[in-house]
Amino acid sequence: MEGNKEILRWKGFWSVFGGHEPPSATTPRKSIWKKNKTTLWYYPAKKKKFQTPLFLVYSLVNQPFILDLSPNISLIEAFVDEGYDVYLIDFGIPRYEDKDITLDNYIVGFIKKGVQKALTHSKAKDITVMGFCLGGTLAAIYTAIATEPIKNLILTVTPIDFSTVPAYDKWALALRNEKIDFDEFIDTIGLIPANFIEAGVRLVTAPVYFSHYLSLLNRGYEKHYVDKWILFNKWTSGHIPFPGATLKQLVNDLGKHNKLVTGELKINNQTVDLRNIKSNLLVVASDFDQLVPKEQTYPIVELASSEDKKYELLPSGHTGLTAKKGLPIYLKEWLPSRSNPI
Amino acid sequence: MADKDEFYKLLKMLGAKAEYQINEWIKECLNKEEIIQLFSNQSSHYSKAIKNIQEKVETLSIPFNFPTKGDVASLAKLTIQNEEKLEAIEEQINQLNELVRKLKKGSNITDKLDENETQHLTTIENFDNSNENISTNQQKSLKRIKKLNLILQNHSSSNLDSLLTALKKENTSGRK
Repeated sequence: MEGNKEILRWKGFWSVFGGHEPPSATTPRKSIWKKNKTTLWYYPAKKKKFQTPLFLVYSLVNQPFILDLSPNISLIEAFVDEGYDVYLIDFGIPRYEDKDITLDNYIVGFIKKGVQKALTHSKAKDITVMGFCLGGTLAAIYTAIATEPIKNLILTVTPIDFSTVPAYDKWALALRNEKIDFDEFIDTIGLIPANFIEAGVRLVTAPVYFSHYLSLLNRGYEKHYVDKWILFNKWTSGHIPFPGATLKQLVNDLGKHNKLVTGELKINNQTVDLRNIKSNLLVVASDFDQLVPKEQTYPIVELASSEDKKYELLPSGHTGLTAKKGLPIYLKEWLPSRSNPI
Repeated sequence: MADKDEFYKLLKMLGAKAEYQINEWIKECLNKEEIIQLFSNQSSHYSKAIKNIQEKVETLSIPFNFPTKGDVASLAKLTIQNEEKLEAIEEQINQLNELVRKLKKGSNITDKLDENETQHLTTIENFDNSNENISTNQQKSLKRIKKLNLILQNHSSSNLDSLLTALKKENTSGRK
């Protein structure tokens, strides 16, 4: 018996190097709008119980399949099972011709348009916008200038206040004091390659990373764990290129001048004032997040004018909130009463 | 068996601890003025070198007759621009379709007109009422056509968007 478990453990461990890949993004969906490389996906509710659909905005540094990782480990599947119509804006993988796409383009050309399409498609009176990580920052910026009826705004591990940084405080200070400048480098290469992005994220979180192999060895005898590990590992190393023009805006406007908090950020010449956010607001942060510390997530709770707002701090890491079975309890409790039950 | 499980758990825990300590040490080493200065200088040199190569390749592409990355990107951008134009046209068509659908449905192009339009309408009504040969239904149709005409005339010099907005506004307020 013990021998069998050991064989299974090592078999499971080595299997991840064999190229086997379990299916991901399996929740039924259809594309309802495409623009450049962006696709708006529609996931119909299994049995519709809420009139207000969800509009998901994922980060720009990675691919959104983490939200529909595999059957039973999928946030989107959980929403659909609970009776919500879900729309996901997938920005696709930028190529060299997209190097000049700006933050303004993402907010107005893709997110705003996507929300309009989702509202028309669903025939709903209002919508819930949910953003993850940097996608949450985009969602907050959009909501602050939105003319569309945004009933709820949910921000998950979303950086808003860049006055505190998770690591490398001297680098942040040098950037603010203009001792370093990334503009020339960004302009020269145009589109930041995926491996540069991965290296950047790794530098902030864990430059040396091997503990995930020890976790795999610990539970290598469980097939479902190995399958989840393979998909999760594919996602963590599946960074995508980043348009230089957007990165420059993020570094200068948010990282350097913290304009989102000071209210000086402009999108299409329109001032982004977080006090304009009046939607019901749920902000979710992780206590052990090495990439987006809780100090970066909280200030929107104080800045937004929403009468109904809640801050939820969970004992997990940066990615622990999305790849789970079923809806997280904080969403199960908060969302239904705010989504116009049928 | 429990012993082996415990061993792997311990290995995982110790590994994670070691990884954390190594990473904190690396971050500490990199978070120094000297490193920042070095990066700043190097990135500037690197940028200049890359720019230089790009320019050389661009020059070489003429005699050697090969397209550069910039050329291909320009072509792709043209397609993206066309896609955007098509989308704008599609949106206008959708708006027009929606308007036609509402008009066919018989919704009111409404009675809420501004002072100027009301004056015009009174003239039309006076004319309609004085013409006994026109039936009530015909009068209604005539009135409706003239209201539409009035709106169209008022927006003859503006663009399609503002005309659509005006018609929609009239339509919406009529429904209320």
